[in-house]
Amino acid sequence: MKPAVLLLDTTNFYSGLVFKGLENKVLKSDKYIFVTTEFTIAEIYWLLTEKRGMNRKDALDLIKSVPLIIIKSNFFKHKWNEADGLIGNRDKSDIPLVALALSLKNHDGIWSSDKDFEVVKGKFKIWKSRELL
Amino acid sequence: MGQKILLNLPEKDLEKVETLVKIGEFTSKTEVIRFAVKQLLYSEERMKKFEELTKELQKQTKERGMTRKEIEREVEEAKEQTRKLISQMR
Repeated sequence: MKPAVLLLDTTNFYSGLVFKGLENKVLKSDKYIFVTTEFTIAEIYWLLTEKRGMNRKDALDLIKSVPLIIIKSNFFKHKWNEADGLIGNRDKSDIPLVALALSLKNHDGIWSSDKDFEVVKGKFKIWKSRELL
Repeated sequence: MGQKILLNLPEKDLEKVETLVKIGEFTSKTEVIRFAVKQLLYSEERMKKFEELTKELQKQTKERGMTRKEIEREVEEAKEQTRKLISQMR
């Protein structure tokens, strides 16, 4: 069964914006509701404004044009240590998304091609872009 | 003032709606439904904005001759800032 609610990581999100590839098709498919953390949004905003020279309004408009729910860290901070134990040794920057995945019930998994997320494969389904089209 | 409607939702969808309220993203189930309807009705407008802004970014990627590896390097730079922030939070 296809998922409906997916946790979104920075690499797939950014690739979907700057490349006309599979990630772009998934983002605009309108089949999914994406959920992510403030940390991911801060990274995307920085990439768009600093690396791509996009003005702040356009960067925010672009982020808002994706069917996306941004979750504040207060919601998942109680799962921070558990997430750190799971993925902290691989990449500290992935802790917030894993903490969110541990906190949020009823999501359908993480959409990511990042190999670091393989360590949480037993806990959550990790979706590849081609599986979502 | 709007009109009231009665709505039957499958259990699975209702659970998801309730989760969105529980996590504080919406104040009520009604608000979630309103948001979903708005998303559907304005999806064309949203998609137009998405297309317009991503087209420019994709053009830039092509002009700069950037590969996936280079995009991943850019993401790494952004993630490095998150790592620093996280280490300051501890």
